[in-house]
Amino acid sequence: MVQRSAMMLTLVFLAAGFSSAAEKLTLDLEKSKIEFVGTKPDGKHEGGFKKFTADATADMENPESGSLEIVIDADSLWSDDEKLTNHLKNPDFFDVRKHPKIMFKATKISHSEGEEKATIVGTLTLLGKEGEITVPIVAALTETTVTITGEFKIDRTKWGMEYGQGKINNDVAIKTVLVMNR
Amino acid sequence: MERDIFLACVLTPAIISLAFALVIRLTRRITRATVRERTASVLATTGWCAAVSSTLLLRQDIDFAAPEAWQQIIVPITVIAAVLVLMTISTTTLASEWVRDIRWVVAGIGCVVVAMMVMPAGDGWVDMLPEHRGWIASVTAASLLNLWSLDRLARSGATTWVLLVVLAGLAAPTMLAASAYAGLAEWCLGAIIATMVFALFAIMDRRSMAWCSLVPAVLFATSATASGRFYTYEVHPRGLYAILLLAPTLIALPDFMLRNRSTWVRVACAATIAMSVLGVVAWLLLGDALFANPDEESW
Repeated sequence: MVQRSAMMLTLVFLAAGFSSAAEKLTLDLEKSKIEFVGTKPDGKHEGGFKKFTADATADMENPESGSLEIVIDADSLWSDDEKLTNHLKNPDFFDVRKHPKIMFKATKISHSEGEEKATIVGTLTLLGKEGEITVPIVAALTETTVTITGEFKIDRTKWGMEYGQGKINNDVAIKTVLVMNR
Repeated sequence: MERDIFLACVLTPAIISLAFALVIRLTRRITRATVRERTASVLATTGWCAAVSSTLLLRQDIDFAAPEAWQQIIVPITVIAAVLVLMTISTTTLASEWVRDIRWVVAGIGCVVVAMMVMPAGDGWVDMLPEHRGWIASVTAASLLNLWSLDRLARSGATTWVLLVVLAGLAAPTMLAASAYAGLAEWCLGAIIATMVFALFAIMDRRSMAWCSLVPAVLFATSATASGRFYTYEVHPRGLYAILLLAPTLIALPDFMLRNRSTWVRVACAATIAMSVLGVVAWLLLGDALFANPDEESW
């Protein structure tokens, strides 16, 4: 019950970007993480991004109009293998020279009253292409922080990342933990 | 190998190269020697460039409004190679001494143009600008040295097998590209296939001018090395890049001492040196991966 209340309160905070009572949240980069897991028939690799920013606002009065915008520094990419990191930065995958930023902008935040989870629908800009994604999230609220955890999958080919189709699975699992100070 | 890669990087360049090689064979019917040689040499150059371009067009989603530096390099390579080949042939026939001298001036200018155009530019490459001067100088010098040493090799009775040396020179930067950027490696594979077809044709048809395709292949190999360097985020020793850039010269130079020996001895010596060079390159590039556990492999 406490968790559910915290969840609802967090969403209320998040969802009020345009209200006069909007509260701006500040990302705590050290505690936050954006990671991915790429899989292939005989294994998997983990990776993520070390640098990113997030602009989020929250308001208790207007939950549906919150805002969340994440900008990832693509060159901060890391993985569990040095050679793979090298390959992932190249045009076969993230093409970090040509597309140094990966962006996500929430367009809709929805939450059914009484539910513990919520959904953020937004636009992911990757490799210069925009695609809509739906991210189920769990949010936790304390007196000083708001923590949003999201786990979802994207089809990388939707953004033109087509290298290794057949050898590397198209679906990439993504896990985000955004810790934001109030 | 994936079907699409096989079609674009192996089958298509092989068919195009073979088609041009067969047309070159038909030029034997031309009675005037000068016309015959010039026609065949230009066909060999343009055939090689067409075959290599086919791989690029089939595998890369090229933005023609703003192509990557390594994608557009085929244009100056084709033009410069065609001009150089025409002048090279001239020296074997009716050309004046002036033409022979000016050929290397043109070659120098051409190598500078290729070296400059292969340098990646744009906002994303600002941090690499300090390296451009050194790489332009290195690519220019290596291209000229390789052209000179292979030209000498071809003129010392190695016309039929000089392209095999060029093949080794292409294999080295292909390994660098394969360690970092599959798109570039695929293009290099197309270049290897095209060169292989012309090399086999030159061996089988001794009177052909198929060996002339060495000019674009040499320019391609040095520019591919530069592209490979700029698309890798790993720190490789400078010696590795020197070997990659100068592989054809390293293989061709020792042959100057063997020019009076039989072809078999010369080919065997060149093959041994080529295998050694490629072995060193593979060890320096892929040593970690070769000895790593399977679960530590890259994609």
